[in-house]
Amino acid sequence: MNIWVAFGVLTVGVIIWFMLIRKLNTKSWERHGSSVHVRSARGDLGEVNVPPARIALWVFLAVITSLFGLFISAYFIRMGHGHGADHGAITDWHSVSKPPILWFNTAMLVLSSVAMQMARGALKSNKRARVNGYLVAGGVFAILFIAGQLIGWQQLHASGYGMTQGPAGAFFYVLTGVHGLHLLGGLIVWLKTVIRMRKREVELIDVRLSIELCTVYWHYLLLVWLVMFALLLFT
Amino acid sequence: MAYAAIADRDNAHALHDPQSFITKYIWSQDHKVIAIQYTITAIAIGLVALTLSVLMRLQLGFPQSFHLIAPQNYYQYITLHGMIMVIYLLTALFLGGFGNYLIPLMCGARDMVFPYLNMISYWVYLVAVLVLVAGFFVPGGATGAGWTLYPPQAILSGSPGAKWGIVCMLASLAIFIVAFTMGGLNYVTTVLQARCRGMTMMRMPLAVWGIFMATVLGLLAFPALFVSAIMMTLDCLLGTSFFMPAVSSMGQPLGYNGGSPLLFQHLFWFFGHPEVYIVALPAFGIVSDLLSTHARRHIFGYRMMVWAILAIGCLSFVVWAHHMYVSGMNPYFGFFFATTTLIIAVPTALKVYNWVLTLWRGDIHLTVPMLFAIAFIFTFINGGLTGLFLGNVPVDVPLSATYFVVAHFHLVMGVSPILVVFGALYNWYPKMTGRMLNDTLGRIHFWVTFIGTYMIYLPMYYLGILGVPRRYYALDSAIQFIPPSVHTMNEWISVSAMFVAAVQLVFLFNLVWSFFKGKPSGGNPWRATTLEWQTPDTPPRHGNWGERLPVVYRWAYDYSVPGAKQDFIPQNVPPDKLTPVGHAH
Repeated sequence: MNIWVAFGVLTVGVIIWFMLIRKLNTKSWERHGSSVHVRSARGDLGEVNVPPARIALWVFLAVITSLFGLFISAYFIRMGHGHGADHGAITDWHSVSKPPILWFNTAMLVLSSVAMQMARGALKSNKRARVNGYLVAGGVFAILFIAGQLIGWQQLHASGYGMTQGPAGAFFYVLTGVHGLHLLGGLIVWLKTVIRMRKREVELIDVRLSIELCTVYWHYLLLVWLVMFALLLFT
Repeated sequence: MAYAAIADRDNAHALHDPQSFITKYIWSQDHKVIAIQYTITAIAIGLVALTLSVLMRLQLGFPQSFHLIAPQNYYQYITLHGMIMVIYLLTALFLGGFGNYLIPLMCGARDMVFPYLNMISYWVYLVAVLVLVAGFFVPGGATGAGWTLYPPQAILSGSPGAKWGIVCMLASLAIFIVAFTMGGLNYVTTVLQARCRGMTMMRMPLAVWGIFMATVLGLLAFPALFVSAIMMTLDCLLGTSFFMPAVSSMGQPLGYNGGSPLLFQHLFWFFGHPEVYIVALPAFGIVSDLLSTHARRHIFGYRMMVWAILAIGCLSFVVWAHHMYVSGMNPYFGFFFATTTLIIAVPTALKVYNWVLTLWRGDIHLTVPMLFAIAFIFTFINGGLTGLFLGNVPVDVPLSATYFVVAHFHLVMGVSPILVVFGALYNWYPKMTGRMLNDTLGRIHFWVTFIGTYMIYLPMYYLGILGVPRRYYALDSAIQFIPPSVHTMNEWISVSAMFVAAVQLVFLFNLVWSFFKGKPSGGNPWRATTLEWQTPDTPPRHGNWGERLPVVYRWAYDYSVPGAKQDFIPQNVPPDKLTPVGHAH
């Protein structure tokens, strides 16, 4: 099984890589209907089809895919190693009892993603108050998710599964921890955007890209969490 | 076309010129300054690794003569030498150094697309280097686990630095990966989004292609090292058992249970093999440009070269387990990886043929960069062909623990890329500083390095076939089958290594001396076609291109075009400005 997980990771990597290669014949300096005028702190980059930040985000998502794919691959290999039929070893893999709060956390993260999507949708109707409201709600739900995860850690620890009581518990802490750190990184960008939104001179159009990219990132982290949650539940 | 680049605005310079010394040279967001910061830091830490290799050779050539070098020191030297050379020198120099310098200039951009992130990337890299060096000074010293850091021995008390040295190493690697990811996002996005008008992907110089593809590999492969670093740190500090099996140390059972050391090997080499190409692909790209420029001839088979780079990049992810043939793997598994390993030789060989065919009937100028480029082809063939031996399981198993492997990987991924680094520094130094490096010193540096390298590594192949084991602190009389001639040969190798190490000081002197006293180079001393040689100022100012961005009309290899007046046509010369032979203008 483990080798197939590794190949799964590989396939995802290759697909993303192939998407990059599709850009081989594009002319990034040319302007199409949907082009955006990019302003950065250091001045203009001129007109480009896709804002560089969006490309960078997608490349970064490829990096994260590789990261979590490898963690999950390691999870399966370690689990198989513990079962150890072909190694003659006695299994040391004992599933941990999942704290029920994880269901609540999952709901929070889904709500967070939905709110971000609503904020993105409200951008089109150009209603500043609604964008602001949904954006703040999205971040607050995400913070609740992280708080819930920490409570989950405490509950797991209280029920006798520390880092050293078997690999399943240790993986639980590591996977949720790494996922939480990625969400925290997203929250920093979210906070910067919220603060910018509070300034009068900042137009909605100026934060449009930030909100769009936050939304994509949020959906992606929700997807990662759902995959990991399923993995933790079924093993 | 409603294209309005920053270049076309009046305030371009006001936007781009930093004012104070600190923003210009220390906290700089200029890709050229960051590139030079990366280069200097990488060379500095590389000198540490070079010194470590000299110490190792002193011990191997003259055992029992240097009481300063205890067995645990020897293993620390091996570990740090390997790790520094592969990651902190070569990866950082090719991607952070040359990538930063060449991508915006060769693509016709004013800077990287995220200059601030680029600056942070360098400073985080510096932190990684400092944490690495701190490993020498923590209680117990640096880790001596070998550069592969295999558990369980890496964190058992028998290994040097098993307590804090290994933690410094793992932390430093994790920090390096963060720095690389920030830089890598920049390089990829800049290549995809910030090329000037006319610069299609298939007109980019191969140097940019190599660096671009290596960055993509790094972005996908470094997470594997990151994952293993995190999990091993937890094993070490918190007592988890990701990689650590039930094990006793000094008769005492440790708290570990059920971990998989093989899992670490898989993760490590899933990073480790692409890492070989992270180092090799920029070298392939840069050497293509050097050969073409100094042979005054277009690169042979440009499209084939690009596709070969892409194919090598893709295949490099499915060969990792050929580093693990001796781990007791399933024979079918080994067969699969032997096959993929031999397949990757096809695009690689194709590139070698194309380099040779580029030289064929070229107007070869044996400048110092060209000497290094040709030396690269020699060395890469020497190192690469022995890779075909080691790629086969039945040949690898007996050779794996011998000096044959040491010679192979040093030639193919140590010396070959370093020769390109030297060639590239001699080639682009004039653009970086406005002065030429001294030619005589350059030739001395080249010949001693080139011949010395063969004096070091060719005998090692022979030692390997004799069965001399690598990783040994000393070959004493307990190893019966080793003839006395091996010791003589080890002395020979050590003396050669001293010469090669010493001549690098000549190179360093040349770098410093030429900065002040070198011959002024002018803007385009090699009469090259690529955009970085067409900048209005040398060294290029902040923003690179003055008032207007360049526009590209042709590929990067218009050398010796029949009917053209000059033997090179820069990429930004429009078709109607070409002067045929016999015309006054």
